[in-house]
Amino acid sequence: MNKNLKILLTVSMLTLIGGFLRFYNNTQNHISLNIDEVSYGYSAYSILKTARDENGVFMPLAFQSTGDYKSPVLIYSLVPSIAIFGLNEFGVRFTTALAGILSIPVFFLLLKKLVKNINIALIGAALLAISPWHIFYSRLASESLMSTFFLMLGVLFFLKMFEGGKIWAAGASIFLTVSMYTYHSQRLFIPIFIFLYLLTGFKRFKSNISNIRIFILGSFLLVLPLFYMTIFGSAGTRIGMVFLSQDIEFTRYVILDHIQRAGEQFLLFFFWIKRYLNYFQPDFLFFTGLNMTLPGTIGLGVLFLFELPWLFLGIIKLFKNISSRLIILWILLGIIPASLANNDQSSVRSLLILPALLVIVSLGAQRFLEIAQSLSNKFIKLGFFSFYGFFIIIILIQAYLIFAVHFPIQQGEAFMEGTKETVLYALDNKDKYQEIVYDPYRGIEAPYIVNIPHMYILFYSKYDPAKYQTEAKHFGKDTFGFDKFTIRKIDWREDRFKKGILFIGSPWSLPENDLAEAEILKKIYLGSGRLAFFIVSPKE
Amino acid sequence: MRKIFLKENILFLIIYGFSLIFSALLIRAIYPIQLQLQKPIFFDLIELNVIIPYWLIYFAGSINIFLIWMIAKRFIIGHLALIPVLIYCFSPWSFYLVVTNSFYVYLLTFILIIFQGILLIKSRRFRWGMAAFILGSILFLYSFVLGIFIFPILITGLSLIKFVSFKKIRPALFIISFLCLPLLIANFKNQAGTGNIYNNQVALFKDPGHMNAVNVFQGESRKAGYSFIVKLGENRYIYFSKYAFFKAIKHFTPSTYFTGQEGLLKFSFSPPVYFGFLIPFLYGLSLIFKSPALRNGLAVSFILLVPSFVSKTLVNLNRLVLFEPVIVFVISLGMIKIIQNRKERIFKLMLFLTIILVSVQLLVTVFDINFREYIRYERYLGGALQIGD
Repeated sequence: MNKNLKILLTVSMLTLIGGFLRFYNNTQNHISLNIDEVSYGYSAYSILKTARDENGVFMPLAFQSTGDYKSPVLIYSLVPSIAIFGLNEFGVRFTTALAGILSIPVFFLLLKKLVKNINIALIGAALLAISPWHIFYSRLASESLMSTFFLMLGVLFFLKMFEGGKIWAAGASIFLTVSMYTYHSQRLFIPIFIFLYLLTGFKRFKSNISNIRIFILGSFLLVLPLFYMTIFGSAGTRIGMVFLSQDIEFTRYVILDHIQRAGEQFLLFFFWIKRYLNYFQPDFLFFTGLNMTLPGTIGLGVLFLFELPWLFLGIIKLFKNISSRLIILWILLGIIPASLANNDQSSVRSLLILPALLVIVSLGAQRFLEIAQSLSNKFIKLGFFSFYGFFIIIILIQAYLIFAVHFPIQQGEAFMEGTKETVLYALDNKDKYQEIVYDPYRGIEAPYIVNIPHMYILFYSKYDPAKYQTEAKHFGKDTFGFDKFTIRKIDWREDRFKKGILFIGSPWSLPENDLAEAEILKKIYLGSGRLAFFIVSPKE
Repeated sequence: MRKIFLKENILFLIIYGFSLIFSALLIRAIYPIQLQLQKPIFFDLIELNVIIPYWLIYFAGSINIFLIWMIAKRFIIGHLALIPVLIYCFSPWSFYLVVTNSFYVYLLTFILIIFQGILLIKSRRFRWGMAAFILGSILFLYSFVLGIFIFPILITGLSLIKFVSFKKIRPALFIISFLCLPLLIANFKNQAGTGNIYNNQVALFKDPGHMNAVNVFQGESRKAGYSFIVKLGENRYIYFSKYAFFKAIKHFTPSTYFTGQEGLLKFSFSPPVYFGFLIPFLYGLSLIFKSPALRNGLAVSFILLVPSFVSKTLVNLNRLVLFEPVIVFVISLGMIKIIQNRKERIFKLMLFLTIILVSVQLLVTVFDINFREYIRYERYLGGALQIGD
């Protein structure tokens, strides 16, 4: 068989496997649509029906959504998917899963370009196909994954640009800019990354100066609206919301809620260094980075544990064999945006370094195979392969069980499990009540999770966007309402006397002991068996 | 007399003076903690509570500085031998433990005495060397129940890498064995007590959370119909092996040593070693990997990680202070090479960055301790500091 055909078949096979892992049962696992997903979905639905977002803004570049000003690319890319599949779980998750699948051949091409070795490129594609980090974010609507896909494509075009051909320069500027429009981390990362890469290798790139000019000019023009929006517009609001100085550990335990106002900026700098180095911690990389199991337990890291020796060998090989500048810059700079945000070890914000990490792991895997194959004693070689093969199988079994069994049970609450059921009940029985009151606070241990139920109501009722944009909404102190729905805290001491109203809330706002059996219309449980919601209506 | 006033000695005294000022600042900042920590130290051999006066911990802390200088002088010529002392004195790690009367500071003294003894034996000051080696070893073995495992492995490792000739230290080992007989007898006669002490020290899998996690995982998987593969993939041996492996590699992570990741005494924001020293540390490490002798020496020193590894928490900076001199020497190696090559642009940049970062962090740390450290202690631990472990 022709060698190229063989490679094509192998890459296609890997893409199919990757596709299966990304699409199989993806409407049920992750267990429920999270707040962001319903927001993306309804905004896209609103654009589809009215060319305006749910707040009535015409074709926005930053979606106000629930106040966090979402990036536009994912939402616009959901429009055709929702038009075809409808406003449902599959429609919302389809686009990201597709980008996840397409990432596999793109990564193959990128790796081939970088290392000029087909075997390493195939290993890399295989590792990306089964990567728990990539699969995790491919199975939900994720700006970060989409952005990483465009980043890979952009870097591939960017590297091709130095071989000549203006089309590559134009493509690089388009894809890298689209990546910046897709997710916040890339907005900081890509300009610094490209600038430093060009700066540190300027002598080599002199011969391609015309292509570089096209690339820079194209990128500059395309990025202008984003720049304007970030500096002067609403997108900048998000930076203030998520910046490291707002971090709870920093404010509460480092500067002690400003008890003594001295040297806070310096402390913030060293706190940032701590956060930055946290991304190189073994727990993030190999043991708990994806937060798929209960806190304190060993679950899944962003890489498989069997990739650890490959990572080490890859680092050594990286410095010896190939131009390491691009990969080193990619990793070291890629962590900066995530480390500047106000939470510890965020796998979503740091997803953009996954391709660079997998380049190193692939190099190491190939070196590992070379070492293993060079063993002269047949029995030792057989023993070595058997042992490592067994180790890989064990790790893959654990990963499968975590994905298929433990994650839906142990992290259901983080994905707003149960909210859909409450909303569907409310919609089915809407006509029976004058008002439906939904308490936005939920949580098993304490009511610390804010649910944003109105987005779920809009999503699952397929609420007419034109009506929602124009109808009167009632705003009050900690209250928001539209149609028959009111989102506010339930105070059962007073609300228990309000007849004809449907109340939905957690046992924190609707204490079971204070509820008469006849008042309880439905109890909603999580997959873990714990009670999440009561749906009640006061009786005579 | 003139020898005493050598420039090198005066510099040492200045650095030592700095360490005293740093200690004084710490004592002033977290003074009430010190009072709360006037707890007796549990003496392993006789199972008695032994009250150790505070002056002794300051003495041990000072001796450690002096011993690091003495050891450095065996490897490094001239003023550069003061670099390890400088790094040690500039790092908050051991000072926090000195101020709070940590048992492991004494153990560090004994280990440094053993090492200095070996170096003296190597340099043919045989009698002094033997005396120091025997004294350090006996104190270490009598003070620390894990010493019985660590000491032989350390000595075997050092002789295997030919750092010290086994023949030369054989007489000392006989004497140490003989002097340890009472310890063995006491252990043998009081097996329950020895067992308790041992169990307190070795608490690697003592956290009941791990077994709970295994049970939860197995229960959920069985319920979902995966009974067979649960036995293969989620059995307790695999879970505990993974945890032990996780713990082990956590000890090789830079952020453990160069950021406040673990928190000195569980509450401080001061890093064990200043972040700026990470630059010479990484360079020093790269130099060590190139030299087989240094590489082997580093590998043997990993035995000093064992006390922290077998503790209940992921990393125990209190126990890990035994490894601090190794970190200091790796940094020093990198630092010395950087200074020697400082005319090249890259080394100039490395030196500049190191000095700037360390200076800024030193100032920030000093001010931060002064302003916030006691409040931080109260907030983190609510006045319930457990320094004993």
